[in-house]
Amino acid sequence: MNVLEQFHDWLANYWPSWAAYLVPALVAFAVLSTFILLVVLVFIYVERRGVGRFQVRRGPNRAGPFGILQPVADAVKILTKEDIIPSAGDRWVHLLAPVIAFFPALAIFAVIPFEGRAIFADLNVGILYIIAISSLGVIGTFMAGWGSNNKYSLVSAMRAVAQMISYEVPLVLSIAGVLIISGSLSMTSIVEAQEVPFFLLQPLGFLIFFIAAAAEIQRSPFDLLEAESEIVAGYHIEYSGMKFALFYLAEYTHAFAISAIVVTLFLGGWHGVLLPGALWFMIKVFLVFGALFWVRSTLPRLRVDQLMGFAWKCLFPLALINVFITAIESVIWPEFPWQLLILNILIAALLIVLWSGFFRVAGERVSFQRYGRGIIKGLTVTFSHLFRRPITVQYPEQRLTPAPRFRGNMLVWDQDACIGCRACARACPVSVIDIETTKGDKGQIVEKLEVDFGRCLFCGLCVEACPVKAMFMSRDYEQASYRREQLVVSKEQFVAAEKRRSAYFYPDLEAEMPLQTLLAPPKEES
Amino acid sequence: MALKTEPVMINFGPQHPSTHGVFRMRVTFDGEVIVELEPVFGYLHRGIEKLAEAKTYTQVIPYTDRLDYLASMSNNFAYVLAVEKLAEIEVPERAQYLRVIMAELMRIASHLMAVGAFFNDLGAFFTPFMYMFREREKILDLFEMVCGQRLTYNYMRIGGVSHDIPERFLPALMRFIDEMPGFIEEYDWLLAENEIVLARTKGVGVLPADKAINASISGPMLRASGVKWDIRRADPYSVYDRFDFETPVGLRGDTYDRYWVRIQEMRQSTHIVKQAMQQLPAGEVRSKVPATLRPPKGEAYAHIESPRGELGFYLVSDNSPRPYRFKVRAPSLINLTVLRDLCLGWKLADAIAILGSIDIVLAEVDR
Repeated sequence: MNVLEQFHDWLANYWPSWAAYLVPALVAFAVLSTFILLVVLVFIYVERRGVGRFQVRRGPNRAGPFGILQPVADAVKILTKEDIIPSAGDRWVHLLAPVIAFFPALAIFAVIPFEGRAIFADLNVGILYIIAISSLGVIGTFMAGWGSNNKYSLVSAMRAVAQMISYEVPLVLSIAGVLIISGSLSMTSIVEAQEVPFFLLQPLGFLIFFIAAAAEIQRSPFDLLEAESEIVAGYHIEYSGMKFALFYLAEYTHAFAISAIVVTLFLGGWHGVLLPGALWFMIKVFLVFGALFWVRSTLPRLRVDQLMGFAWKCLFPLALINVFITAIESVIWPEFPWQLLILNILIAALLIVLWSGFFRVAGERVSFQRYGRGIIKGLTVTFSHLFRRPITVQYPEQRLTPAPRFRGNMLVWDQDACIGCRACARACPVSVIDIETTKGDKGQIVEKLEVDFGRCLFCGLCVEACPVKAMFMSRDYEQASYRREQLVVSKEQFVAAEKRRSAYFYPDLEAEMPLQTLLAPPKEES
Repeated sequence: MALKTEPVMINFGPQHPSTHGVFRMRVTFDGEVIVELEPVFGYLHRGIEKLAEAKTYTQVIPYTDRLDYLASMSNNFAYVLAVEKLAEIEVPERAQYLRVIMAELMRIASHLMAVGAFFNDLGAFFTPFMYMFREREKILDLFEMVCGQRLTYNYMRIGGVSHDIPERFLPALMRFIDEMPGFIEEYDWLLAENEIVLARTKGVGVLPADKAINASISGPMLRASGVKWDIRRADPYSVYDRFDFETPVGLRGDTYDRYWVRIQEMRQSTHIVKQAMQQLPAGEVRSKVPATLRPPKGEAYAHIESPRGELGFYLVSDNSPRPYRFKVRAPSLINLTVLRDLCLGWKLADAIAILGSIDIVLAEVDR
C-alpha cells in the first residue's frame, strides 16, 4: 500500500470515485515532476562542477553561493531566447519533437520506488513498463533530426535510431538476470529481494546494463548523437529557446531516470543503514550519476560502426551468456545464497577477458592485456585530478601579476625626454604612430602624437627604436572600449595617463617590480 | 529489397568546432562513408607575403608571429635565420642557445595544443585539452617572462635575440623541465592505452612513407610514416648538432602514430632544453647589426624543423632595406594536401580525427 493509494482510499470516503482517483494522481504528478525537475537542476549543477574539478577547473561559481544558481541563470537565459523554426523544416514535427523526447523520460518515474511506499504506481510489470516507455524517446530525437531539415541533424537522427535499437537489446537482456533472481517484474519487489545488492550477484549484468544505459541516454563515450566535434550538436542543432530547454531537460531527466533504475535494480534501492531510505536512494542515484560524468570526462567517443559492433558483438552475446548462467544457477541454488557472488564475479572477469580477445583493432587482435585496462588507467588519472587544486583564477578579484617585461596595451610616453626624432614612427611595422613636430629652441617639439591601439601589434619595436628612453611599453592589461576611436590615444591622454612602465627593453627597471605570477614558480619560491 | 540511396554533400566549415579555424571541407557521404572530400581554404588570407615586401627586415618579424600563431618562436627563428644567411651575420653563442631553448619549448607547447585539440576531435570532453593547456600555460608564463608576450613573441632579432633572459628564468625553466616528464607520463596513462583511443586511431588514415615523401610532407606527420627525416638532424642549423636527442618515428603512419610521435617529441624536446641549459654560455645575446639593414643582392632560403614540419623562409634581396620577395614554405599547407587521400573511404568521425592529427594552423595555411 503506497502513499498514493492511501490518499485515494481516504478521499474515496468523501468524493465520487472518479474524483478520488483523479485528484491524488494529479497532485502526485505535480509533486513528482516538480521534484524531478529540481533534482535535474541539481544534476546539471553537480555535473558542471564535477566535470570542472576533473578538469582542474573550478566550474561555475558565480551565480549565487558556490554557483548553485547557475542552472537557474541558464534556464532564464534559454527561456528568453528567440524561438526559431527553420523555414524549410517541417513545422509540426519540429515543434512536437522536444515534447515527445521529454515525456517518456518523465514517465519512467511513475514506477521508480523512491522508498518502500513512495512510488507513483507500483505496477506488477514495472520493469516492462520502463523498457516500453524508454524506447519512445528515440521517436522525439528522430523527429527533431528530420523536422529540422538540416544535414547534421539528419545524420544524428539516423545514428540515434541505430544506437537506441541496438542498445535496447543488451539492456533488456541484462535485466533478465535480475528478474530471474528476484522472480518479479515489480520494482518494489526487486528492491525487497536485494538482501545482497544485485550488482554483486550479477556483476556482468550490472556492467552490461550500465554501459547500455549510458548508450541509451547518449552519455559519453556513446554521445554520437550530439558529437560536437563531428555533427556539432546533432539533432538539436536547429533548436533554441524553450524547445532546446526541453531537450536539455530530457537529457538530464533521462540520466536521472537511468541512474534511478540502476539503483533500483542493482544497488539495493532504498536499502541502507541509519539514514532514511529515500535519502539512501538519492545518495546512490548521485553516485551513479557521478560515475556517468566521471566516465564522460575521461573517454573519447566511439565511431558509429564501432558503437554498433560493440552492442551486437560484445554486449549482446555476453548478456545472453549471463542470462544462461543465471538460469543454470537458479536451478542449482534456487535461494541464491550470497556466497554465489564470488563465483559470479569470477565468471564475469573470465568472460570479459575471453571476450576482449575476440576484438580487433586495426586488423590485429587486441592483446590480452587490454580488457579495459587502458580505460581504467584513464579513469584513475581523471579521478586523481578531482583532488588537485583548480588552476583557474577568479579573475576580477584575483589578478595575476604580469611579467616585468610585459608588453601591455598602451605605451608610456615621457614627454620631457622625447626629442621628436620620429624613430618610433619609422620603426612601427603597422604605422600606427602618428607624430608631428615643429622646430623649437632645443630640438623638435612634439605637436601631435596619436597612436591607434586598435591596430597596434604591441611588438615593442618603437620602444627599441627610441634613442632617448622616452618610450616604454605599459604593464596594463585591461583596456576595453565599445568604440574603435576610443582606442586612438592622443598626446594629451599620453601625458595624463598613469605611467606604469614595463621593463621591456630596459631590464634595469625590473628590480623594483613585483614578481610575475607563475603557474610553476621556481623551486626556492614555492 | 534494394533501397535507393544517394550520396549527400555536407559542408564542414568554415565555421565548425573541429576545423581548427576557418577551414572548410566539402564532404560527400554515402551513409557515413566519405566518397569525396574537397578542402577549401583561403578564408584567413591576409597577404602577409606581399605585406612583408613593404616592411624593413626587422619589421617583418612581428608579422612572422602571425603565421603559425601556436609556434611564433619557431617562425621568428626561421625568418631570422634566413635574414642572417642573406646578410651573412654572425650570431653570438648565447643567443644561439637561447633560440634553441625557446624553439624547443615552443615545440612542446605546440604539440600539447595539437594533441589536446586532437583528442577533442576524437570526442573527449575537453579533459586532455585542459590538462595539456595547463602545461602549455606554464611555457607561456616562461615566454612572458623573457619577452613580455604570451602568444606573439617577436623575440628573435636579426643577429640574436631581443633580450637576455631574466634571473628568475632558469630556475623556473628548470622546475618546468623537471616536472614535464611526469606530466607526459600522465597523458600516457590517460590516453595511450585507452581502448577507445586505439580503436579510433589505429589503422585510421594511413599515410604510406612513399606517398608522404611524394607529397613533400614534413614534420611529425612524415616521421609517423616511418621516415626518419628531421631537419635538426638532416641539415643542422644553429647549434642543434651539439645536442644528443633521438628522432622518434612511427611504424604505420596512421593517426595513432602521428599522436604518438608528438608525445615522444615532447620528451625529446625536454631533453634538448635540459642540455641547452647546462651548456648555456655567458656573453652577448645580440651582435651589432646596422639599424637599417641592407643585405647584399641575392637570395637565401633557411628552413627549420618547426613543430609542424619544415618551415622555410625564402628571401630575395635587391640591396634595399626591404625584402624584394618574401616566401614562406608553410608546413601546415603542404601537410594538408594529402587530406583527401587520407580520408576517402573512412567515416565521418574519422575525417575529423585525421584532420586533427595533421595539426594545421589556418593562419599558416592561408597566410
